Formats: sequence, structure tokens, C-alpha cells
Amino acid sequence: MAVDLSMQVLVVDDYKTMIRIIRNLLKQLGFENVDEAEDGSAALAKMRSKQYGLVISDWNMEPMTGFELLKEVRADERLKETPFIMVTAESKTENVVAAKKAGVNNYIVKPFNAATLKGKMASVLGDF
Amino acid sequence: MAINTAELPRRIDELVQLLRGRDERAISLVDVASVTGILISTMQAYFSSIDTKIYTEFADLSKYIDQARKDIASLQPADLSGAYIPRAGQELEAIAESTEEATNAIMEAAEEIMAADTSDPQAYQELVNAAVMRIFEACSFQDITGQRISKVVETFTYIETRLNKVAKLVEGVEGIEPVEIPEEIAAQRRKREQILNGPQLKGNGKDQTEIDALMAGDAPSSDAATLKTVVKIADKANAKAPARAAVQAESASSDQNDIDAMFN
Repeated sequence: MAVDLSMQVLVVDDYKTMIRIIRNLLKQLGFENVDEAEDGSAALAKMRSKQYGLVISDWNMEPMTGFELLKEVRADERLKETPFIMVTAESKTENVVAAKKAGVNNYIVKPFNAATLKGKMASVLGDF
Repeated sequence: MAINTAELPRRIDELVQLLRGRDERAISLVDVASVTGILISTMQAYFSSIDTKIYTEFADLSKYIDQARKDIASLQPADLSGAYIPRAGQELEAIAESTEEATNAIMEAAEEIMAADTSDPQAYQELVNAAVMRIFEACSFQDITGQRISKVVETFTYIETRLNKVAKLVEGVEGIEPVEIPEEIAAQRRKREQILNGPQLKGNGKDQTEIDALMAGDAPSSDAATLKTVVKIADKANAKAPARAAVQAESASSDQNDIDAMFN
């Protein structure tokens, strides 16, 4: 099934520059409808009011981390199937294992490039 | 002959009474000299009975305290808290500020290029050239940032040297008990529960290829022991799932079969 490039994508990061970078990369990939949130709790609020085809989230944020957001999403009957990619500087094995066990679909370590983002998105959404 | 210190006043009093007890005859010089001689011998006997070792120890202690005061003064703690540490903080803020400015400048130039109208090749070329020049200019932040970082490192080295000096000062001093490490504070507990390790130095974290292998379940067998440990950490962290979660609780420990099943 072809990937719907008009889907809503939610980018979650407390660092505005990173959101800007990801938004620009998504635009280059054809995804124009990008929303943003500065932490897990703001993201969760948005997800409960709007449907998103993909969440791209940082880990280290307060008051709710990306890890907590992932667990909340997977615990919510309405949201649990939402594709979730972690994009983070957390690169230790324990982080990857914990995220995988919590149900993350893919994991990108910062710094990353456009090809990596596209590859991981394609592995989750399908080729585009 | 050792003299009991309690006896000394009585002995002196005896001598004084002896002199007072004389009749009206004038006290001769010989009498005074005799009494003085006895008094001197008495005092000498008294002083020699005192354990001079105590005085030696007091003298040593006094010298030690004096030296310690000089060493502590040389640490210039007011200098550390009043100048060095605040300056390091300011340098770090300046680094964050300049990297943000540079990043914004670079991104604006890149966005301008992305949005440019390509129908007029010459105009497009000029626009791209101008934007690229701004990108090169913005990249000069790295030079200043590098210098600021050197200053911060210098400050921390200075602080480390002084702290080592303090540690040496109190090392082996009797009566100074080791400081009890306080229990984990809330911020540390949160870092642990949320597995907040932060960016790693080269060699300490996994790169994208290794992470892809972990996600795909192709972790090398040499990682098995590490995986067993981190699975325990992951299980603990995931055990903090929300109360209404339908997520199944994982078992506290995992053996190799559990680990293999997780990744396959």
C-alpha cells in the first residue's frame, strides 16, 4: 500500500532547532503536514485530539520523556498502533533494548542524516 | 625527684612561713639566697616532672594548623565561587548562544536555497552563492567555540587541582570521619528510571549500524552478557508503565532463551 504523504506527522523535541531540521527533512521527503510538541505531555495532548500517521520523538525531555510518551501511547487503546520512531542522543544498549521492549518501531541515534531518516521511516511506513 | 603539682603551693608556702616565722632579727642575704636556692630547686624538680612530650605534640599541632591555614588560604575558595565557576558558566552559555546563532544562520540560508525560484538560472546562481557564503561565515563559530571550551576545561582543571589539595590536607587526619554519601536524590532517581544517559563519548555508545542490529535481533553473541544485564534494566524501566496500561509486565530476569525470543 502506498504511503500517504499527506499524513500528519508529529515531531516531539524540546530543542526547536532539531524540530526545524526534522521538519525540513520531512518536507524534502514529501511530508508537508508536520506538527510539533516540546515534550511528551504536550505530544500526548495533541495525539488525543488529532490523528497522526507517525510520531518522531526525542527521548530526553521534561516533564515527560520520549520513553514515557512511548509507553503512554502503547498503553492507550486508541493510540497504541501509531508508528513511533525514537530520534535521540541516547545510544547505550540499555536505551535501545528498553525502547524496543516498550514497543518502539525504530530507533535513530543523533546526529543522523536524511538517508537514515528516510530509511527508518520506510521500514515503518513502507517505501515512498 | 618528682613533685606532685598539688604539693607545690604547700612547699612554697612552707618556705614563706619559714621566713615570716623568724624573729625580729634582720633576714640576712644568706637566708634569702638559701631560700631562693631551695625555691629554684623545687621549681626545677617540678618542671622536670612535667611530661614534655605533651608540649612537643602541642607545638607540632600548632605548626600543622598554621600550615593548613596557609594551604586553605592559598586555595582561594572565594576566587573559585566568585570568579572561576561563574566565568565557566558564562563561557558555556556563550557557547550555547553562538552555536544557536550559527545554526539559525545556516538553516535560514539552506531554507532560502530550498525555496528559491529556479526558473531564472542566473538569479538562482546568485542567490545560492550568497546563501552559501553566509553558511561558510556562520561556520566560523567553531573557532570561537573551541577557544571557549578550552577556557572551560582550564577552569575545571584548576578546580580539580585545588580539590585534590583539600583532599590531601584532610587525608589521614584522625577524627575526620568520611563524608556519608547522601541517598539518591529525586533528580538522580529520575535519570536512572528514565535511562537518561545523555550523549556518549566515542566508543561508549552504539552507532546507527549497531543499533540497527539490536533492533533487528542480530546482536553478536559477545553482547549476550551485556544484553542480559540491560534486559533487567529495561524490564525495571518498563515496569513503570501507567497503571491503566494493558502492557504485560515482563518477568524480572531473563535468560538467553528469553533474550533470543525478544529479538526474533
